[in-house]
Amino acid sequence: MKEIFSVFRSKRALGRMILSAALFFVVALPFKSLFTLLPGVTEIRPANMIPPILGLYFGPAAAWGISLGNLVSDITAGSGAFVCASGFVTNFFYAYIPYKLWYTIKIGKQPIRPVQLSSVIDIVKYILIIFVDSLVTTTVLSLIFEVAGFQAMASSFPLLFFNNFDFAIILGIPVLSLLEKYRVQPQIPTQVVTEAKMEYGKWLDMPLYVISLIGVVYLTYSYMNQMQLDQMLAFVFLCVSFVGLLLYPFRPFAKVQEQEEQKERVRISIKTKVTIGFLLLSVVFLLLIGVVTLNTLSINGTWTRLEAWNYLYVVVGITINIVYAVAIGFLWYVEKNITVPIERLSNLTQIYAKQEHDHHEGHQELIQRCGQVPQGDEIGALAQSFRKMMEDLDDYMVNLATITADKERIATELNVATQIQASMMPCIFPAFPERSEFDIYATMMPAKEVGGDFYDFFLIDDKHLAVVMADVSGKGVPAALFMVIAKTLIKNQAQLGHTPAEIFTTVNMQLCENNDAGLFVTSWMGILDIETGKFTYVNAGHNPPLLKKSGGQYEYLRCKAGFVLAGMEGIRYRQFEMTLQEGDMLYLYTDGVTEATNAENQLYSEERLLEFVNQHTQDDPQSLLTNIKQDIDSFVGDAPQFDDITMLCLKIKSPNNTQGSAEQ
Amino acid sequence: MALTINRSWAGEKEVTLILEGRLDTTTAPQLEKEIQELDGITCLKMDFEKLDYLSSAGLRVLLLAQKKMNRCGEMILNHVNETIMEVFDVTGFIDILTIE
Repeated sequence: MKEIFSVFRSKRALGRMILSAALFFVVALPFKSLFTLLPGVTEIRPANMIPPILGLYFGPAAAWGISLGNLVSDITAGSGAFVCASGFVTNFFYAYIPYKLWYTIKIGKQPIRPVQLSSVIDIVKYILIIFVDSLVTTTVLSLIFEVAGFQAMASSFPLLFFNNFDFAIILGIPVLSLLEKYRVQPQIPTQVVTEAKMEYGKWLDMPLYVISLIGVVYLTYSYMNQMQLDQMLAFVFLCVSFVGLLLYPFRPFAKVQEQEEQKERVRISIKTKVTIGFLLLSVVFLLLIGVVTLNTLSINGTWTRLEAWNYLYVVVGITINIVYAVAIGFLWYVEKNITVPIERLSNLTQIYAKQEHDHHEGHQELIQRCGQVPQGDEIGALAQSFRKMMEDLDDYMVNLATITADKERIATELNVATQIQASMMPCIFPAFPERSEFDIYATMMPAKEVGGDFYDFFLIDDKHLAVVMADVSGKGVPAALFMVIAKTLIKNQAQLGHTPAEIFTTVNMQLCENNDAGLFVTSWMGILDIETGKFTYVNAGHNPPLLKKSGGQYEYLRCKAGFVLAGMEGIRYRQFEMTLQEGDMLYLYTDGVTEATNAENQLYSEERLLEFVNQHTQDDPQSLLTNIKQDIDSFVGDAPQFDDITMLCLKIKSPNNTQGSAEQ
Repeated sequence: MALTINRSWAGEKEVTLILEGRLDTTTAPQLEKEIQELDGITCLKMDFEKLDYLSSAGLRVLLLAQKKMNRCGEMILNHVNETIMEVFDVTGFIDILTIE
């Protein structure tokens, strides 16, 4: 009740009130002067759709606006005080009743939502409300006319009723969809009442039933008897009706469900689109029926205008019911089979898309709900596919987690393996700080985590230094494992005091014993007699080292190479001898150096290596290796490193001094 | 750059593999698989005319092939170019392979 008067305190409501009044007045005026049906009383009034629609949308603000608009309209038309006053009250309720009904009655289980025509239930509700509203309004208006003595109820009732009902249905739907499209916010009652009050409040619907009953009974009665109602009786009824109407605003509103939170990416739902589209189509159809009927009537000129319009309204009114019955049946079918399943599926996918995918709580429920979408058509198939996708995705997530864990574990292990491999090769420099007779330096850069290259140097005894450079065929873990075996065997054999040829012959035999993988090792080994400078070396298929005699240039130390280690059983290796002197340098490397490849697929090559080392003849072992590495890097550029790069450099410093001191 | 292997049969027992490209760590498994698939042949020829590069992983496959053919026939390499011949020379493979 309070809400009715709160209109005058809100600027927005006042604005809507003035707008309603203006709209009503503007639409009503031209028709008033053009098509007067009952002189001074009513006409063809497309304006009749304005009160229920605006009332529905704007509530009391529209009710006030329209009743004021009507008042102005009546005064300009020169109507009497009784007509003006009763017209005011009637129009007020004509606009107010739909609003009240929308927010008090529930159809089915659907909660009461702000005004919208987005489902079959909404439409049924809308038609029902317009029907009740038209019936009540028409009854009150007819009674007013009876009392004022204008017209017998029977003759004008259908005309008035269908005038109200037809226009509200035909024009109301496009107007409502426009309001919805432009997102005009409907007025929503804010009044909160207790459950108990709500129960008792339902009795306040009675006035509407009573008035409707009076209308229907007296219409039937006067039709059958073809006579006017007794004026006194009519007056009583009118009073009863007015009292009823005045009580109606006290009816409490039901609880309105808040506007559903706007679904992401959904501006107008499919359901709404289908509903509105179909209703608009029906409206066009109805208008066509109306025009055709009007055309037929104008040919048949024997009827009075009143009779003709009566007939027209009845025809359109009946057609509305037939068309809408069909439309609603069809929409209900579409809703049940297409739009509702799509909506549900869309909701499910949206929930799923928003969820975290690394844990599965809630997924089971979604998967189950997906299975509840009706099967047998494309939507069912879509739901099934989506369900399968969710299940698969869950499985993939589990697999991925396992695989990632495995990968991490392997990466960690490889990391450890790399460290072990690195620590197997002597890597602390200077390696023999107490020995001044020679200087040695070596580096290795694996292409993958662990490599197949290795170098080694160790003192066999006080007088003998062994240097080894080797390359296992292939890369990665298999090569690294084979490298460990090869390195260990060579060192073991060397420490027994054998000659290089003997060492390689034995190691080759041992390596061949269990070599199913067919790996092999190219290797170069030399043993230096520190006292005499005698250097004995053997080559098992390895790249020739570079040797620089003191004061000279680097040259490749070529000798007849034996076959690779582990390649073929029973190979006998030949060793070679030479004498090294102070200032001599020996550079050992693997094919990772000479076969480093740049982006143009060119190899670093032995020629380039030879040229480069000869530009650095004064370098000590460490800086020589660093410089070569830098040159390889600048040659390769951005191309990936294909092979391990391993280098070792030995410089003889003063073997004769040692020999001398030993002799002393 | 990859490796292309074309087979050319001469009778049921003799086949020539024509290799084109690089035989290195990434492509060696391809040749290994190819050779594993060849069963019951007595003469395996390989044409190296268009082979640009041979790495130690490639040598390993050649060694496996040689060992396999030692058991059941012979393996012959054709058109070995200078660079690759040098590789065979340096690694001592020249002694165990039949090169024509």
